[in-house]
Amino acid sequence: MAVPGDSADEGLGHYSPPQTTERLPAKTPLDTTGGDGDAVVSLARVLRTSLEPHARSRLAVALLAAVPADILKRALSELDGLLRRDFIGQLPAEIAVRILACLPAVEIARTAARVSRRWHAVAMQPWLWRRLFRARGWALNEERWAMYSSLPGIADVGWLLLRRSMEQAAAAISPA
Amino acid sequence: MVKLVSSDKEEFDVAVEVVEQSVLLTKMAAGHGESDEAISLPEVTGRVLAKVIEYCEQHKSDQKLDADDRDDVPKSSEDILQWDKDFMKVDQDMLFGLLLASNYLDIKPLLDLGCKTVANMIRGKSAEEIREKFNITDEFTEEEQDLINKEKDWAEDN
Repeated sequence: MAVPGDSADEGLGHYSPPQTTERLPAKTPLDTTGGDGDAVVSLARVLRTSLEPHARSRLAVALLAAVPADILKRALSELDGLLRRDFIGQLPAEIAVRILACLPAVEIARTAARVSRRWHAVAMQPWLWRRLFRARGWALNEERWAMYSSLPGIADVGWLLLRRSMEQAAAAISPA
Repeated sequence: MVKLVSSDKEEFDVAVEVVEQSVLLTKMAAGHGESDEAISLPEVTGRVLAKVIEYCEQHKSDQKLDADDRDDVPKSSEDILQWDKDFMKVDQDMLFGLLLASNYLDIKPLLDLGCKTVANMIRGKSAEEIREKFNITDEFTEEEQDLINKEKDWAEDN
């Protein structure tokens, strides 16, 4: 007759570790093994608000100096990411459009519009294409433009109109 | 002289002709009249403001742009003066700050210079190279990517 706990398997199956009572003491405020690094985040928050910028950077350098080379390498590439900026994605739309307007239409439609969701949204701004058209001395036929710009690929439409012959473009654009 | 104070409380004493490069500062200085009260700029850090002032010092004797020219898109991103080119050899964080500051302070030539500089960083690169250069992470979902590929096919067929 099998008694509970008789075999090793059954023993394991019935065993329920007293997790709540045994594991809590190990999780001191500075324990970072929990995986989410909450303690580190809150420690960093405290230091961020209580130290002057200069002292913060000295502390950061001192901490990094004590780190093994492979981790240091990873930390550096993460920091390098912080120094880079998504100009089109993060700047106000009026500046982002101004930047893209410096590029040839074909690059806006073919490349910039395919970088990310934000870049796509900026590259599709009717205002941008209005500017590009105006720079070429063409005025927009507002009615036709409204029709074209309701299509999903407005950047490609704009580029097409620029690329194709003037006669084709004239269908959507009236002379200035 | 006009006294400017950055968001991090750094103070700068600047000549009037330097201040006049900025449409916003010109208006603010006029509002202050003869008083030597400082103009505080909570939107601009000292690091960026110092760089903006350096630009304005260099360009203080430039001809003023006509009102008509002001709204134009920069015509080409290649016609940049050597001094301006060297001035723009900065990290991306500074370039970002200069774009925001020149837009806020309304310094049109500096805003255009910044835009041209970023455009030159984008020019000729693939979408992937651009993502890498600017550390861009908000990529398309698979669905959106399909839609974009369709757009592309459509444009090439026509």
